[in-house]
Amino acid sequence: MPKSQPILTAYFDDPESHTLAHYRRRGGYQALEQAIRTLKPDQVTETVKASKLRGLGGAGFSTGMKWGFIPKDNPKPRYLVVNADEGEPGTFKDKWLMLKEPHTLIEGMLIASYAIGCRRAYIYIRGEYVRPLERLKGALEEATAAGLVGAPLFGSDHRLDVTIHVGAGAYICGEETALLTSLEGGKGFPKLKPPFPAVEGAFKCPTIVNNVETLCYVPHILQRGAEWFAALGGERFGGMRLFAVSGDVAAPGVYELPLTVTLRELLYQHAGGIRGGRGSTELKAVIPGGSSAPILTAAEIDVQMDFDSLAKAGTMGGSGAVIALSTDVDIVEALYNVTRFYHHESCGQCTPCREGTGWMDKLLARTLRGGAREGDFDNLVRIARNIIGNTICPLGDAAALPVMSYVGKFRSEFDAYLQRAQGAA
Amino acid sequence: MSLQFSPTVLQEIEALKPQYPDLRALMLPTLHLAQREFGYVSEAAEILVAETLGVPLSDVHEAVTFYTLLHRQPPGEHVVYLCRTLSCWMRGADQVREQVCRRLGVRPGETSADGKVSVFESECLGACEIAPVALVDSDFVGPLDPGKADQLIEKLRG
Repeated sequence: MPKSQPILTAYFDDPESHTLAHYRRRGGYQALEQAIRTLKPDQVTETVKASKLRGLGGAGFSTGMKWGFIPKDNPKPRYLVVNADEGEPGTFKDKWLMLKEPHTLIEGMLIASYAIGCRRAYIYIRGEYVRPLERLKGALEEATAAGLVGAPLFGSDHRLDVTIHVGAGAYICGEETALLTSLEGGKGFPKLKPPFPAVEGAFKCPTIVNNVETLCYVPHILQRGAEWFAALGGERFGGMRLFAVSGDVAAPGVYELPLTVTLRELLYQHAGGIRGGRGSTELKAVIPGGSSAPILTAAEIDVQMDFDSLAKAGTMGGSGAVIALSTDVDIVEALYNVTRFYHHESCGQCTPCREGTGWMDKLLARTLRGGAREGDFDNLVRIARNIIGNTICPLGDAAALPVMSYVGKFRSEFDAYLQRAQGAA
Repeated sequence: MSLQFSPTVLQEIEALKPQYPDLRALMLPTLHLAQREFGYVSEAAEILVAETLGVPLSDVHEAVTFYTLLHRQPPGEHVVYLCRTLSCWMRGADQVREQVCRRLGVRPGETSADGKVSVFESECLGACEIAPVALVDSDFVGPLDPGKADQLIEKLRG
């Protein structure tokens, strides 16, 4: 099946894949040279648009279209910011890209910077990724010594300087406006959109924020053509993506597959099938796009893993993080874990999220202690409904959606806690 | 005498300045340097960072208290972050944490009496393929179970 030949993960098994020499040997930085020598910046953006590449950090927005939002008439400097603050629970793909393909990322950044006309890029990487940071630093030194970073490129006047900016532990900084606030030196508070970062982002200048994986596909798209990448996908999406599979599967890991793969195929043909913590081989539920995504039951896994099919199924593709829950898992406990996470990570700026996540956390904790009360789970859903849409950033929705879907689809497991509490009383 | 940065760190800060449009953006890089230099970010270090960057002390304090990787107390020789989020929890993170804490005689957030190991609970560390996972100084270690956690603690205590 030539369609599912790996692209970004093709050299993951090679211990030298992160070096400039290895990258050059397999055609690295040729796409950049070709783009600068033969294409105008707008043509690069058009190519990326035509490839139907969509943002792989979570939002799934057209990358080429995003680049096109940079205002042409704004005289301020422009910035490219790489979102390497991978923190959505279940997500670990960008870590492997930075460890194994740092030059692919740098080449993607160089091409993007040429397309949008920017001279300074920041890579915002989470502070816990110490080894990936070392790899990035090493690759950046190599690229700088080779005249690829910090110097005019291929006889043009385009050059890009790159700064690595290390985060300090805050999930919220993966949200692009919070990331920019953090980059500017503040605590990670998200900002209202509009203005969108492309118009007014870092340091009040036009800014494109792209995910690591998204940028890594760019050199391949330039080299092999927009049609090739588009043809790997479907009508409204191009290519492949890296699925990070974890939880109750026999073979957790990163799987690079076309977005036309179904969730069932991903779990059973690629990730080795179901294996619970206590040995169960029976699937109970799956979270298909990071912990923010509404949960799917075992009966709902014949869904294609592209953004639109998952949205139609009432959930989302998100960051490509797939977490399988076997029948060994108690759904109420799982929801408590997820809800506690969002409570802990809520930045506190918006009242519905700050207070609502706390109430939901407390209510679930009380349930697990055996103190469930009549009406609790309706209350839980009501709190969630009052968070959704009432906050500056999507963290509020991310906290509310799991609550609504877990309670909605597994109500009997919640009610069993109530019955046990009433029986004990 | 008040706290000072070493000449090396001052040089590093100087090298960062042209990379950002203003000094306030050097907040996180400078706090990381302060933590590397002094082991943690004390109140004196907060004042030093505020003076070095010319930003209000309240802004520095706000940042230090917002981000979980910045230590406000001196940590032990080794720092262990134990992930507690969904994939790790499903694979036994609670049992690993209990074992680590019992072994060291600490609660999460504390340092062992011999000053060797600090233990923190952490949200998703981005290493769910080896859940349950710990970030031990610079490296991810996993999948852990109570037995392996014991061995890890023994190794760290030397």
